[in-house]
Amino acid sequence: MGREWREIPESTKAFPLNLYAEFLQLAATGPPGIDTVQKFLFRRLTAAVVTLITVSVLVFALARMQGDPRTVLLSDDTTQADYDAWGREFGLDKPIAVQYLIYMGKLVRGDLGKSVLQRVPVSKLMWSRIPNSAQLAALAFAFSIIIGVPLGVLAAVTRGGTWDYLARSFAIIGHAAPSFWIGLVLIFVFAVTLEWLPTSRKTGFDSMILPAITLGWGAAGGQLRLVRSSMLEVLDSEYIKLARAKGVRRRSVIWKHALRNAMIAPLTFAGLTLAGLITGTIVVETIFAWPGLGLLSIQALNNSDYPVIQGVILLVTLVYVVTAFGVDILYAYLDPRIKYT
Amino acid sequence: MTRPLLFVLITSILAAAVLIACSSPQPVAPAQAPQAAPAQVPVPDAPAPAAAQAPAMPALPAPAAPAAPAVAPEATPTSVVFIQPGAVPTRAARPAPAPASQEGQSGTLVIGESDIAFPGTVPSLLSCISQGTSHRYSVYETPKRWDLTDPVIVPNLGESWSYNDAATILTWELREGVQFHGGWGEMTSEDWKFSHEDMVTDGSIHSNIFISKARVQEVRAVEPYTVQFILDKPNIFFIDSQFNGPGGCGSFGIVSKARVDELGKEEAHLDLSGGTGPYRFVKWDAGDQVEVEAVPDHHRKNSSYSTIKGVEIKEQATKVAALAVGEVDIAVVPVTESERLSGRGLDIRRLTGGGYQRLYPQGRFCMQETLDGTVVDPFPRPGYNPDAPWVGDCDNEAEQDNARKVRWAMSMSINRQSMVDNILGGLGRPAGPAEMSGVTYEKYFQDKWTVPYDPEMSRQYLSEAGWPDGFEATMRVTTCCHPLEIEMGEAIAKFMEDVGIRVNIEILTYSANRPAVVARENGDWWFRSSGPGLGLNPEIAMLRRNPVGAFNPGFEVSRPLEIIAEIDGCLDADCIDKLRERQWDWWHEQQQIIGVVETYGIFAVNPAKVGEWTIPIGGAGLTAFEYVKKP
Repeated sequence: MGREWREIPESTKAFPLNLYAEFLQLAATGPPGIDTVQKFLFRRLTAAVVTLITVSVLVFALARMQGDPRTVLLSDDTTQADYDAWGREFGLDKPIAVQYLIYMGKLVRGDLGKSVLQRVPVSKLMWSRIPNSAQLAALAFAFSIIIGVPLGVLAAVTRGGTWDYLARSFAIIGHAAPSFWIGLVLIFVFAVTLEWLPTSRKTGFDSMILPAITLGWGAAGGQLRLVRSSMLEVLDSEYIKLARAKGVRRRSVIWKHALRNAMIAPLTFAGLTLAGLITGTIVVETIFAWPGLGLLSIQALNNSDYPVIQGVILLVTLVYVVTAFGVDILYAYLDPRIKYT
Repeated sequence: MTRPLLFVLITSILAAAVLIACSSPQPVAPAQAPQAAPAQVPVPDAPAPAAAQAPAMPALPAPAAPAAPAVAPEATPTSVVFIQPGAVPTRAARPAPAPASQEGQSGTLVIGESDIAFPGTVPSLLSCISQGTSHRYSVYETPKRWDLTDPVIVPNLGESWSYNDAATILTWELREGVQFHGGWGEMTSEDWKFSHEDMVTDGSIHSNIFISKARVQEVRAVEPYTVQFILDKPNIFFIDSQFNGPGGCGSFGIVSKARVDELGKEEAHLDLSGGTGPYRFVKWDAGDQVEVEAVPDHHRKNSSYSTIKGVEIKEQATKVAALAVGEVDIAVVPVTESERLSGRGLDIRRLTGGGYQRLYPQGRFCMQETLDGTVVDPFPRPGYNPDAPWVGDCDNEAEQDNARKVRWAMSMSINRQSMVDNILGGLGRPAGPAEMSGVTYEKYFQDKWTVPYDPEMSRQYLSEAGWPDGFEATMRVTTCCHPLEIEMGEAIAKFMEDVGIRVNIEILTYSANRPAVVARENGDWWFRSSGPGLGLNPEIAMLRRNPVGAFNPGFEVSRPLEIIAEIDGCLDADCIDKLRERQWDWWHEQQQIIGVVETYGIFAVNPAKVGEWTIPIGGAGLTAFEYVKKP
């Protein structure tokens, strides 16, 4: 109580600047009477809301900069009267600021609008695609962890050895080769030449393997390099040397003492990778004709279906914000030295 | 030292392994395709280009007395508009349903598509894209349809049609016993009336309704199986709005009135029933797949396959791979893949119609009002630029003539045959004038409309027009419809460069370019491609609606519209053909649309599942799967 932000004299307040200053202060310190953890949560939530609002403004403006969807959807025969009628139906006849306010008004009630092309709710369209993208992302994420972490550890403990070079080569290819190229090569080798797996589309578990590897290879490479460098740093530390000197078994030193302390950076990377895998699958979904959010957004872009574009991008932002928030909380769990402030 | 070397070695081996795998030439036969590859790709040869010795730029004004069409064989219809008002009423024999194949309706045919659009089912809510999907899968039918083998339209849901003597009342006798999918009852004249009225209602986004909306005063359901369309004045092109075309976009599909009455428009739009075609929807997921099943004992054609499944695969390379391994049975493929796929045992076939690739020199917005006196707003158009060499001042005759010379110089600098040979691999031909392609080209093209490749003459025209050192121009190349459109655009730029015209290329998607097109903002060049289609005459296509329609090819001039207005008043085929020739003379003289090449679309089929298959003329792509015969 009695914080400075409450002590700004009424007479000196100049709306709206001081109101804005108060908001910033509130966002930075949180309301009075809450503990450190609550303050942390409050601050992060405020930042998340501000991020979402900012993104909504940007997306809304950019979607309209792409052009009026009527010019794409309406036929060559369209008269001005029909053009105007469609504008009224979709609110395109109003000033853009008014359109935005209407949009936000609906958004806070959970209404993302209707697809201009299909005339079905955007949320329904997105929900039909989210499970597909999530499944693909989960498998790609599992691939990146299952391959990236053990190979990273292996590369670190065999530093400079053959396994180290092999693992780093794997990582470099995953990083350097574009996913569309990796995808096409995998299709050629495993689907066309060997005929082990289907080329594309979602037909069963086997159809997930190639897109998941394509999607997860780059992430696995990044994970591998981070784990390797973190492990090398930890393995050189005094307490590891002490553990070894005390005769602790090698396996225990590596997997119990070293790895846990080396996982802070990879964990951050993994969290954001997961968000990226869920939301950044446009290329992979296009190559493999995978009916997920990425493909939906491409189709929406091609048709100037701006409600769908807005919905997908807002969802992407939300996923990133929530993931980053979750990662922050996990930090403290993994490393007690990290404090909420 | 050895370890870094080892690292480099391992990386190189891995990269080499991937590259070797990538370039492996070993073909694998499709799952159900025969092993033997055909000796040659059975794509028809490109017809020989027209006479090499073509006339140079014709002099203005346009010839007063048009010559008789050179191509008018009796075996072909006299016009792409196949009905003449006042003609003897036709009553076509009701074709018996074709028998199904001996095996009956069974099996699934999988079609690889670049786009599975939302089909939709209520006329006024159907965008062009949605209409194309419904048409492609033969779920809805139109009063008339294209004949299978000849470029004529024949009755479909109607049995016959006739005009009164004044050519203002079109009477249809309906086919009896046609049932709507989903148990919505038998089709009657009330369904026709509803379908038409909903199609042209205010706010409708249905394509091809311009004439219907302007000319139809009333639709009368006279009897349960008789319906009349009352026109305000004769218009021979009105009937064109009632067949399955153009290209599926703009077709007048008959849907169940009872269904919309009961469900309401919005719900009916998402409902899958209510069609009358040889297939009915089982499910669709826009952007992923669509599945239709054959209707047993259909009134027109019984399909050999019980299920047709369309799957969306946007990436061409993936689609080719899916064809190669037998996951997909039919798909349109790039011409560059024809040899590879035929080597895998797939049949390569040619689509009907051709894709018209043309160059629009934009900016000649010279119409202040339409022919009926409507003021063009805004005027001048934002894209009007009288300083552009290919535009000139609209009110200055000398400048207009110089601009025409510049357009001729542009056109004559292009080596069309070289583009056909070297870019299209022979799968195409030099384009005819002004949107003339496909069936229209076959019927109407005359040698006098050939534009020769003559760089010397091109330079001379530039010099005469006051541009001896050439000039700089920007060319938008829009992508949408042909895999080699960028390469074609680059070739045009290179040819222009050889005569002194320096071209800056901007590449963008068709949809990204369209808003500026609709707003008449463009005064540069636009190289635009299109996929295989019927090749509609300009008087039917969007050029008729210029400048009041949404689409615009970058110019607004009155002369072609005056000729179209004259055609509208024709009451016999001879009159139409003469005026049509005059119209193409004008397009040729003006080079306002520079036809570049006509490209042939090809598609691959799995010969183990697809035997004889006649796609109706005007099908404009993969469609009419009910005509697929099993091998």
